[in-house]
Amino acid sequence: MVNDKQDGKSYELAREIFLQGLAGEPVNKDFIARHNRAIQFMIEDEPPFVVDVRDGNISLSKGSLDDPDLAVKANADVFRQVFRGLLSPGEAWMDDQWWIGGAFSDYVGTSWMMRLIKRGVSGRMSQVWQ
Amino acid sequence: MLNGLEIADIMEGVHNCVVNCAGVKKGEHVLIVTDTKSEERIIQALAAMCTAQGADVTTIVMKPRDWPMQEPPEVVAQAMRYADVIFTPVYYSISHTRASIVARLEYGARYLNLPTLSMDSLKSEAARFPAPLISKIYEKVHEIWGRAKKVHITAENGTDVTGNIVSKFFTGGMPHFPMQEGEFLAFGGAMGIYGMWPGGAEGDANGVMYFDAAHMFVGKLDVPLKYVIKNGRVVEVDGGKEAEHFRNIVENVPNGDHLAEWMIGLNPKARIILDEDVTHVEAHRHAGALHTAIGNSKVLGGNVYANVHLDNFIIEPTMKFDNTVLVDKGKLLVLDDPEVQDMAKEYGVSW
Repeated sequence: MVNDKQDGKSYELAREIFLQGLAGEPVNKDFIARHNRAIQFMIEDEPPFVVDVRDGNISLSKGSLDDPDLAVKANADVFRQVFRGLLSPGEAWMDDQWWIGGAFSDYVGTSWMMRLIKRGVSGRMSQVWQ
Repeated sequence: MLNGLEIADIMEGVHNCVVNCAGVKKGEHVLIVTDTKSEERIIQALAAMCTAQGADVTTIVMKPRDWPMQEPPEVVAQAMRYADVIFTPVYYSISHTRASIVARLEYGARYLNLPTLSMDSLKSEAARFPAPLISKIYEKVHEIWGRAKKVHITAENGTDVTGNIVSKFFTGGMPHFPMQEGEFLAFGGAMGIYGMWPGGAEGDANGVMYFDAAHMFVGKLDVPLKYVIKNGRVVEVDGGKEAEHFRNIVENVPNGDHLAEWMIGLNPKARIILDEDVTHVEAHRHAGALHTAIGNSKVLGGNVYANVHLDNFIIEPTMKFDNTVLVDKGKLLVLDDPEVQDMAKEYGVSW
């Protein structure tokens, strides 16, 4: 039986979207560099992980931060739907399917994070289809 | 009589809105969403000012909404996703709708809310008020409100309500100037509001509020509208003939009873005008006046969505944050702050 907590499928999907789909596309360079933010992802029944966006670079690591700039809580199904482009992050937020918080979860921070994800998804899709 | 020249009188206010606040730039896509109840000259002036900045302007005219914050048609919602800047001079506001929130947060649009905007308001000193001075007033309010744990609101009309401050998401009228992607500015007759989501059950708002004016009703109320609030929900509505309308929303609209917002005006030049529009939009910006919403709090950092958002109004509240009085019988005390006064002098403004 697969243990989802150890499996960390969402972490792997996040790596694919943020590192390949987003950072792997030169067109996103300026957009990524707009803000330095650590984004904490807490996916139900999976290990927490952090996406650190700093000075135009992106890194991912497993673990938790005490005071993340942005934080997302979701169940694995919602996370995967958003990160596969099947569910809009804005609609998911409106419908309480995922929660966004953190010290910089104002309009600018939330909007930037949602668009990071969308750009990553879009970039990964175009890479796969090529 | 050259009535057409009246448009010249609103251009300074329109410039403040389009250039100083929205920061419309060359090559940007601007969407103006309006309806058939709105003032045509204002739409023309907005479009002209945006075009003069080099923007590509598209205007959509929709049927007026039936109530505040009713979702716009899907065609409008989709168009909003492809605009860099959205202006909504409409009768009933669509600012707190799903369409608006998705356009801003997911697509990065800058959104300027302009409900029931009148030529008179756009000509006023409030509309021409320097944006950096509003920022300074906001900053001073935030130093008190943003650091407090509890708020106690009273008024001579019998209002007496308390709540915890749990939201970090302060909002309403003060994005960056000029605005950044995803930001929202209420520029209805003027800019300048500050407020918060009372925090639902966690905010634990309890008490009673009496309102001097009510959303969707023109004029000062003959009998104040009364809300009894328990644990962040309105549990009882009373008052004059308007009460039935709000009772119906509280009892029958999903999450219509949710206490969604406490917000004050920051603009010392905004006037208390209650008898000209159903939104009392300039009055909401009057420094020290309080408006309180039920319904949707999503746009205010809250966690509750409702297909309605109604703002009711108290002219002269007293608001105490922990041990500090911020508003005393409708007077916003930070207006006397030396830094605020010095900046006002720089801009040649006094009140």
